[in-house]
Amino acid sequence: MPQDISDQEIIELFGKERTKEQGFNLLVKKYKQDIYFTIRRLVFNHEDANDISQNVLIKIWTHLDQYRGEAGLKTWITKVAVNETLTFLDRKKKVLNIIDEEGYNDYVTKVVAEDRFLSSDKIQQLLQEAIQQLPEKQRAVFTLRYYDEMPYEEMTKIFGGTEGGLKASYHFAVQKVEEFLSKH
Amino acid sequence: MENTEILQQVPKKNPFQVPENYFDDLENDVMAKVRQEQKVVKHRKIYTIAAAVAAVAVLVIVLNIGLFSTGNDTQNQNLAENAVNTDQKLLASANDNDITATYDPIVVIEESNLDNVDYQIIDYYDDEMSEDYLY
Repeated sequence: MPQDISDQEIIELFGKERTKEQGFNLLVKKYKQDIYFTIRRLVFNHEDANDISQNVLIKIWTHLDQYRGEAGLKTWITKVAVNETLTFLDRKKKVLNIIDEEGYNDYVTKVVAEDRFLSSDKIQQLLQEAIQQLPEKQRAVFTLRYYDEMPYEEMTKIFGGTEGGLKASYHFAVQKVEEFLSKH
Repeated sequence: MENTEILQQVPKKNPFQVPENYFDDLENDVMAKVRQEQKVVKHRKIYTIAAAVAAVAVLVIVLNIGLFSTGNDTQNQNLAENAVNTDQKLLASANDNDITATYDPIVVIEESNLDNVDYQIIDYYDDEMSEDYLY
């Protein structure tokens, strides 16, 4: 099982030229789903999530030799995924020429309603719509804390800042989500 | 508690679906890209090494040409020195008759023959003398 492979083993295999590809393959097997869903929760759309996931994995291939082990390998991978996704979302907003919050919320409602890879559970659809209306970075903080229960200390290694700041960000995100759910 | 009552009532599940075999395809696609990238890197390394070898070969050839030319000059200088030494030996051993026989006779142009002198040759030498060879 790929989850049985230790991060240390992956890094050691990757660090040698003749086993580099083998090490990377093991990393992909172990983390591909985590990477994909971390991204999917932020972008919602499967096609976008697929594109970004591939880019993230290629970036990991290119830059894993720079990993110094200050954070766990999974945290480092998550950081790459989150940063790539936030960059993508920023670019997409400009491409879509969305200039106000109302315009963006209308866009989100449309996207959620039309998505063919989303559960038909209405409550889950509403929750996703609420999450998609959060500002991008706050959305990332919310999804990592809510779905992955990531400790705040670990989140500081992804977002920077302080644990207190991240707690506040999550608290405000929860308030917004609750407000949305109560209205719908 | 971080999450309020409303959020707590929503089951925490993964609502996202993916196409069939998606994750196998994702793995295969990424590994294929990585292998392709490795081929490109390998080819670049080969080209770089080949270019370096070619540059060194050109340098060696150029240097050899330079050395060959320098060698000839040395040879020619030796030949010239030998010729001078031979001439000096000949002169030392020669008498007046030998000298006039060995060297071209000096043509003396008498004044009466000046009309017949080739003035073109004289003009040429005058031009040569006036040119500024410094520029």
